[in-house]
Amino acid sequence: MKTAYAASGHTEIVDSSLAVEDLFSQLGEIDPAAIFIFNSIKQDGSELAERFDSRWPKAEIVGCSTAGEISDKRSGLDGVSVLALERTVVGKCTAAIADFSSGIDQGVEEAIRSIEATTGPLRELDPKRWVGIVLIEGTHGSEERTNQLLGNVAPMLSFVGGSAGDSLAFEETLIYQPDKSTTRGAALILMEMKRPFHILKTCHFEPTEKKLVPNKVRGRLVQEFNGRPAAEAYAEAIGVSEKELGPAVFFPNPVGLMIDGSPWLRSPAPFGHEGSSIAFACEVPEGAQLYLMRRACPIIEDSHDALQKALETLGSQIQAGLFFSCAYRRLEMDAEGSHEDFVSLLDFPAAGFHTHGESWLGHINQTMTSLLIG
Amino acid sequence: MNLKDVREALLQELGDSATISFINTRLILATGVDLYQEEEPETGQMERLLVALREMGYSAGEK
Repeated sequence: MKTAYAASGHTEIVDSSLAVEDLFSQLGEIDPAAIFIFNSIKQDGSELAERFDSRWPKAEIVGCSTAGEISDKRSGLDGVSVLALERTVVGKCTAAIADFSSGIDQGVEEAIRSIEATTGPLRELDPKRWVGIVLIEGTHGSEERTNQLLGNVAPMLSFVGGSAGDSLAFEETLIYQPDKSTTRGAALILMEMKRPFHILKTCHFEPTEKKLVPNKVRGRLVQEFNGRPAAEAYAEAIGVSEKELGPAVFFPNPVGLMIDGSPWLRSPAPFGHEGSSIAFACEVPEGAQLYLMRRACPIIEDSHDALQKALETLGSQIQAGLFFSCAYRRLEMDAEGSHEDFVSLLDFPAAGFHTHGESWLGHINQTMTSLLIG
Repeated sequence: MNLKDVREALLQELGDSATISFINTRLILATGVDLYQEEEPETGQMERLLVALREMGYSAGEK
């Protein structure tokens, strides 16, 4: 008999009570340690979590609103995707909401204390055996500090995840557990893995030879590149006029750091042309060696290759996956009509969402991060 | 203190270069400074790097 490791579900039924029944029937008879719910803002995330908690009260449950839901069954914009990880995959497991209403530092510190009550000090956990998932609200610019704090507590431990979405309204996102929800906070879940796992980070961009070094930065706003007004220097590097700067120019022309041969993207915000400055969707520190990036291949080709490499690294079949893929990637896939092609790459139980930014070791843009379980 | 000093001190604290590479990614994302970059960072950047290391719990040679 085949061992069950994970089960996934996807529904586009908008009524949450009916959606839950559909999802329960897809998940079947399972004994999950952790459940992840990713829902459209048309759905009531808190109600979904409470109903899942009633059905599986011993499981840790976290979820968030999205800019599109991903699963191995289909991708959509108005539905719910769910992944349940069985106790054959996850041993100890604990989750907490970091409430940022009194500040990000206090919220993360309290959530970490709550998690450490179960796991012991995070810094002492074996990073080859333990992994965290982080879901961060996606409209208040909390991601850099949240990731930094997690890295300070346990530098060698990975928390992978993404920023919640709201169907591209960029107004308010929701993070939740069964008993708690917040529009200003993050959900953290830490899992002791009984199976091998791999963290995937991939994007379909490559560096050009053009460097843009930010010399004057305020938060996410870059005022100068290469000692010149940022908008002027960026527009010149791309070969357009400043007047043309906007989403259609920004999406295919992110900038990025190159680390160990891999691009870590920083994308201009869709309407980030502010006078002579450019607002980005994540912070770019002064002096960072940023390269103008260009599209290297279609998203599907890059995703396929990344999954193949992950398969080789794991050395076994992928048994389950959580995916956090940028909303910009969703827009590109919308334009190419390639969502079903992406779904066809997932021949294992999977769920995820299109994000307002991705997390792993820091805050990233225009990327897909993933926890893959072998 | 220069980047070579920081790298050597960190290697003593962490014990292996693979671990430093992981930490280096965090540092580049947070501070823009690469422990292995050819050019020495400006004073402000070096200070950011050392603060980031301290916050992660590494002294990196600082007294």
